[in-house]
Amino acid sequence: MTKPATDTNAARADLLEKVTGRAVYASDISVPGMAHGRILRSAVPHARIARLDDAAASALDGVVSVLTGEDLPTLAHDRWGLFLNDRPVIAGEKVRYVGEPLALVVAETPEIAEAALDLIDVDYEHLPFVDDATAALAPDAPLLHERHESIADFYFKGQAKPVDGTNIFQNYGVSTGDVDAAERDAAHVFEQTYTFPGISHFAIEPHSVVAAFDGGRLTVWSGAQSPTAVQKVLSRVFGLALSDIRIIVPFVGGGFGGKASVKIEPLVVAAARKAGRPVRVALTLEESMLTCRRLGASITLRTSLDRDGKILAKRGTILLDGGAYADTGPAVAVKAAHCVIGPYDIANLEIEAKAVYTNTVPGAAFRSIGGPQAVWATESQMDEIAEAMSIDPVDLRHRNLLPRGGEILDSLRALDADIGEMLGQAGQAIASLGGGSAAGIAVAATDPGILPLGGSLVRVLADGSITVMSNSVDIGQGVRAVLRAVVAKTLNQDVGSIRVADPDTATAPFDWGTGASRSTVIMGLAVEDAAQDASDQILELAASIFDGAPNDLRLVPGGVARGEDVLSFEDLYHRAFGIDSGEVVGRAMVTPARKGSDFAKSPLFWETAVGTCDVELDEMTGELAVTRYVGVADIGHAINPAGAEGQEEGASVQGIGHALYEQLDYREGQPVNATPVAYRVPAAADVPQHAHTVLIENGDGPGPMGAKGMGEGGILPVAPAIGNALARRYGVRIRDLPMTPERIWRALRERDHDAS
Amino acid sequence: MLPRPFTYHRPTSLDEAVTLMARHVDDVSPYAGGTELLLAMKMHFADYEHLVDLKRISELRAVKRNGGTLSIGALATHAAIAADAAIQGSLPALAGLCGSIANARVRAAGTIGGNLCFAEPRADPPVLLAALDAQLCLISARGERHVAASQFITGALETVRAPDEILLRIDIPLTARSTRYERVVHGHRTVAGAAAVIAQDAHAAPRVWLGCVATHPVALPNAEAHVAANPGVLDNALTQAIASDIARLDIADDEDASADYRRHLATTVAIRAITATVEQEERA
Amino acid sequence: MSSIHEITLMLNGDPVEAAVAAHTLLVDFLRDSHALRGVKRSCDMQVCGACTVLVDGRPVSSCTMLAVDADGASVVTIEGLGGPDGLDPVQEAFLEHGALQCGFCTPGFILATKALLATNPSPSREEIVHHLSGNICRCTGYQKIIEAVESLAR
Repeated sequence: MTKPATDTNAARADLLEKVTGRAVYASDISVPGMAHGRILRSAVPHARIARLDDAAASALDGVVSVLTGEDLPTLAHDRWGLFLNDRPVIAGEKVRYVGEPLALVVAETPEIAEAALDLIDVDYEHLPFVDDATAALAPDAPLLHERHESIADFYFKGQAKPVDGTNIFQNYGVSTGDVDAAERDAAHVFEQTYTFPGISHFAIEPHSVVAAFDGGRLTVWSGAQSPTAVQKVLSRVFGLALSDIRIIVPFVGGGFGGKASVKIEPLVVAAARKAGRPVRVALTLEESMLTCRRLGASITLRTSLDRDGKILAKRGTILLDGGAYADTGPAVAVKAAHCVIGPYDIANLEIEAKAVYTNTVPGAAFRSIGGPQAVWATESQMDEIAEAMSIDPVDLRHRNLLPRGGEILDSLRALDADIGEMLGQAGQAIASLGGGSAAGIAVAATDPGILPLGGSLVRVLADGSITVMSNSVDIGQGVRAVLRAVVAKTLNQDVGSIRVADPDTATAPFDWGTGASRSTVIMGLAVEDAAQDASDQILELAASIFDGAPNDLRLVPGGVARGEDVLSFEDLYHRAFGIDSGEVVGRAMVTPARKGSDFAKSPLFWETAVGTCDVELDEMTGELAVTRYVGVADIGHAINPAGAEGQEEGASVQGIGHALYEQLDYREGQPVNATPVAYRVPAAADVPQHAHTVLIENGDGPGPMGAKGMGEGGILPVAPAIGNALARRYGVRIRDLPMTPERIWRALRERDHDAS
Repeated sequence: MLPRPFTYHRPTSLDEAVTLMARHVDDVSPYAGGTELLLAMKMHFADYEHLVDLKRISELRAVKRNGGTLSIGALATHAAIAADAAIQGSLPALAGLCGSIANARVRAAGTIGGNLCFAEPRADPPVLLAALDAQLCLISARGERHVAASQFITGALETVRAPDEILLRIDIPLTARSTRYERVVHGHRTVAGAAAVIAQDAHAAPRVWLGCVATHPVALPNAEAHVAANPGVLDNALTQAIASDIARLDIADDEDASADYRRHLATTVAIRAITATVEQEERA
Repeated sequence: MSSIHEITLMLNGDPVEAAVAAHTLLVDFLRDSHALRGVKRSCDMQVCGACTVLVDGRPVSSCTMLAVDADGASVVTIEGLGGPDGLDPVQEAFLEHGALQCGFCTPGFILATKALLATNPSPSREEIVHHLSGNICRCTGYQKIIEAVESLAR
């Protein structure tokens, strides 16, 4: 029997591995016989590939093979997607964005592979391109995809609604009440357009994959957030049984959605298959920036109010720039349409969200899909309305906020948080940081698109140590610590005795994926159920040994007790199984029909956030600094309080990046700042000197111990809170992100010009 | 992101280095901190058959004060300059600037000489050194020669250094009464930087230099003339003088800033640098 | 072809002799030849700090330093600080303050902090922020990192 660990570090086993540099990430994986791949990428935004000559590269000493579009016919399916079957494993007839993989050289060393790239000759037959979403809607816009193949219920529920003969790959609408009539009755109608650019995930570990075939069986090590999605897509592309594909995910150096669904895995597997060798492809950060990004958006809102500041109707037109391939863009459009309503009581709504293809880096999930774009528009406009109607911005929100239990849309679950109370807490918290009341505020509610489908195994081993098997991925959010805490509580075991194994599709049950703030709730419940199942089995066993009823027994650290009598797991198994070995396996699969849960209606919980801040502007240069920031989140219960706080802090600083610095900039179809040097993300100096996070815990969430999912909401209110503070303090309103010094400077000039 | 192969030489004496540079003059680069050169070679923007590493020639690191001149060895790192007591005392503006270049790793490895010789258009030290009227000492098999820092850089990534020449040291006359470098940095890059230097000798002309806006640092003659004629006066005419200097510069839009915004920032940092020198004078 | 050079160095306190090609980068030498996988490669352009190692106590980007430059030097990677049984105070502080999430930038931050404290044992918050602004963390928002380093200031 192991002694319960007393070392407090045991609770933070993963962090211990990380601070000592011993944590293994996908980019650290090395397998015997492994060769190294480097990718040749398109230099042009849109072209037919007239000729691709890899003869010289293939002939270079040390080159194993070169994968190109010519290899596509050897695949069971040469293209893949999650909503639309639109992405070739490697560019075939044409390229659709600068950075699209054209060839993958596999060589004995990375250096040889890199040298071989220079020897590949490509002739492009240039096609007209479109690098802007509005232009992509024009009737004569160049088409990226000649036809659309929408796939239903593949990995997401439902299907995208592309429009044939256009670049539109998703069209989603929300319609309630009678907006026309409400606009006629309104005392005030406001219409503004807000834009949010495509931005880079900039996870510090670039995408990295090792693929190895062993006969007909495939093992892939990848920093993937959705191992079972990768498994499924690979099974289609390569015609392999799910059971012959093993996806192993070690620690992941940051995800934020950029490693969700499927990314470079099919490409690397195709290269390994052709090379007949295990192949490692570790992208540079620059290449990761050419792999995926957040969808840019242009959002026009027309909001009607009565003379008392009550919103009567809202019309929203959302245009999302989805890049060259749809990926999860269709889901982003749906979420943006819901989120743009805001947590407000609005009877009449007409919201339309379109996502279009452009010749730019493919869009993808990114922390709260569609949320920051929508909230930037909605919450900026709320302040513009407040100012125009001479109403205090907090007051305007109070006049329109839904109460707890109110419905944003009939089809969605009722709001499970009191945002009015959160506003009050935010105001108090920022005042307590000194410097008076806040200048800017924003609120948000988003409905995470959570599919309640995920399982786990909890194995109680003979020596009392416990292994948890789950495909939830630790991308830094600390899911392993949460799972360990849930198992420890359910089984009444010391947290130090519990280990969470690396996600591995060969050994852990299906889980839909790590994203949408779902792991604490879904995997939390799955391990709670699995631990409960183990507990039931152990008490059953013990009852037969103690010759009593399971009800008289209880689990204690390291074993089972009846009254003062304690039986260790080892002794229990010895007596029950005849040897002092064996184990008890608890298992559980959370499904939409889970007993005791109400998973019929979406979302499973609302992710709510309030952000409030103050800013300081250098009016000569336009440089803006956030001096104070407070974020408030209703998370039900913090299973791992330090981790939860860190999630909120990290989200708010990412939000500062979106607000002030970040934009993947295109000129003439070329990305001009898609490098780690030219693209600015927040550094330590950009963090507000005074910051605070308020976590509201009412234990009313659907997860273990009343937890809700969290970690995404904190990013939502940041940009509009800053924009509103800038407007209030300095009289300039910016509607296009990021609020760069140059944009602010121009706005200041306009302000001063108007004033004179 | 791997440099192409090359031959590496590591001389331990200056004579040896000079000989190696002469022998391989057709395809050689001196190699110091490597923070810019290696990055360019990794990205295949630059390619050399031979690198002559100067880091084992200890005399190239020396910082000395000889009477009224501060001599800084070309191989002195930014971090060493920032931490050097003599420089902190005699030229705090230079120590302060070197303490805030790029990041701590670049400061620990990168050298002042490398920074000058690479002539990156967004580099800060060349602007301040030009304003300080520093003299650069270069050596080759043909002997030593001296070039004013203000004449050294002629364009983006272009200097008057001959392919076989090694920058030995930077001699800075300690004749300034007040010195200031002001800049605006967005992300990793300086978008505008200006240096103002007021000499101890009341008859000596003030110097105002601007950098990080065009291809290389330039003097602002109208601003200098205005400051000379109206010492200590900060007025609208000064702003106009600076603006007239900047109007003559060829400044293009780039991914960091549009031209008109950059001109405005250039004017702003020049005013701030001059204002700071006036405030220093007043305090003194 | 590159020239080949015999180098000797102290690597995490142990003497090491090796022959390296001139153009071999220190990061590859450490990761591939010595399996020091705590040295992380990310931006490859000296801006992120993930590949930070200490060379004679100074922080450098091993992605932009030649292995041959380490000849005669003492090189310390995260593996040279402390293991699970005996953490360095900086590692302890990062753990204690929850100053990490995904952990990929963490070795670089810890070594950057070591370098700071070696020259300035009692840095102010402003000095900490200035020194660490050359390392990028996309997860934590930096606050807990700054707090961890503040806790070490004497």
